[in-house]
Amino acid sequence: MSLARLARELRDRRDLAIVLTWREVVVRYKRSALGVAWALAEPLAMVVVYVVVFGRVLHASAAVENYALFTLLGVVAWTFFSSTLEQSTITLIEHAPLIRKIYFPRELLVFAVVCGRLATLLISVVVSGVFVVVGALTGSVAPLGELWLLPLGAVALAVFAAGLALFLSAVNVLYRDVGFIVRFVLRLGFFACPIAYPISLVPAEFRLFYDLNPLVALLWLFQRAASPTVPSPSNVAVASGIIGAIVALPVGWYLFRRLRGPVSDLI
Amino acid sequence: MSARGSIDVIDVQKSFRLYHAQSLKETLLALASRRRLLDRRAILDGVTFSIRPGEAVALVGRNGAGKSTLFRLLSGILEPERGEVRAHGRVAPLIELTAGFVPDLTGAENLSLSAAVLGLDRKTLRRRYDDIVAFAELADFMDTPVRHYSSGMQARLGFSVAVHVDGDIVLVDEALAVGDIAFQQKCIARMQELVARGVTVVFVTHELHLIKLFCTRVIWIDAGKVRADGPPAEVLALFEASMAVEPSMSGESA
Repeated sequence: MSLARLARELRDRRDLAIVLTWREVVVRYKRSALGVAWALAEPLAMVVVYVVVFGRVLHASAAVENYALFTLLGVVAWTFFSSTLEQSTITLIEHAPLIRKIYFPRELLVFAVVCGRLATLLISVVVSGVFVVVGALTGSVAPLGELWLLPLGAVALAVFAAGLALFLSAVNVLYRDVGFIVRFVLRLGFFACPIAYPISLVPAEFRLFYDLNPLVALLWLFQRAASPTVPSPSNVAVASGIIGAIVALPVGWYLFRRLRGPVSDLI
Repeated sequence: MSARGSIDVIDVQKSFRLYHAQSLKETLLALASRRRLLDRRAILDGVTFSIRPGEAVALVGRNGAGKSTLFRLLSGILEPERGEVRAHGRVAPLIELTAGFVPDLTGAENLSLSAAVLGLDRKTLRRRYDDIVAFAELADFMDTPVRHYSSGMQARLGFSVAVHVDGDIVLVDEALAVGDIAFQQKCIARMQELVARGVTVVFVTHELHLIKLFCTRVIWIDAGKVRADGPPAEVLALFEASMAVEPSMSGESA
């Protein structure tokens, strides 16, 4: 299918994209009393744990100012990233009965997951932003000028996640092992990212390898709002972050399109 | 360029890939031992026909003959391996889309969900909402979660949405067996209205009396090929005669 035809088709089906995103958000919170408040309750609870375990017990908090806010911003971004990948990996299979019955551009299911989680991320970022503003006014966190990095971080992380999500969702139809691998890698990945600790604590001999992870720089875009002293990522980390954010979506989408024959046969 | 509402199926071939490896482990083992990863079994083998705008065509054939696969190629769910399927104009499948229903959402919410999946835009939906609800006979239940619907009510809601989607080509897959007899008659009347209006209709069914009711042409698919194509009376006579001669094999599936 030509790019022009794909673009026309996606434009024609924008109402479907909107409705699917709306459903992603509504269905998740429909039958819970606290509703969308859960979006923030979970990261906050995690932050409390990290403040105690990493901050008090392992003394990671000494390495960065405003440790609690630093972790909150990192956890919020990570929660978006990992829940997006987990959910979108299984979304085609979850919608198999629908996919077998009717045609529509399948990527809309993946985009709906990404956009639905992005809505949750925006709520968390706005609430975290309030903490940042209060901190900035009392002079204890980064100047408010750094706040523009938050939306930039959200967009870059969402684009990066969308690329991976497209690829993983298609491959998981071919090999159901992928869902398990994704969950496993995400559990470990949390510790391979500077979320509960700043990059300055990573041993120098691992740094080059560590900085190849695009998330190092993408997370920094969030964390920078916590304090002007949050250590900046290295040039290698910045390069992998930029390359990751630019390359992931076109490559992931291309592979998704290439795999749609086997996917529609096997689903 | 062909007219709106016409369909060209040109030398279409489709086979199922029978993957021997179901998991990553099996795939890696198969690659290591150089075993075959997949076999192909032909489902459609060089099918060619054209449908003119306004024709009402039934696809008939035994289970496993390939008519459902052909139907899914026409609706774009599957893609042919070889050959081409060209549907000119907007294709609207007339299927009850209960598969997409979310039990926790209300009837009204599920209605807009199905409408979006079927390709009805929001503006048109707003205009037709009342008609859809009336057709489904569910006016009092639109704020009730679909969880509390009976299966008949769900099917009625799903089908009513599909009936109100415009298409130059309408594809019908055994869906007229929805709801009670009164509702079925309403669906059949609606089908006849579409045919009378000059919409192209392609119909997959085992119900021969429905074919006689409103089809102008029958295509008989047998073993992945077009075995006969022509006026209903002629083709159905051949088809029924062959059914009598070649008794259906048990355990075969579509």
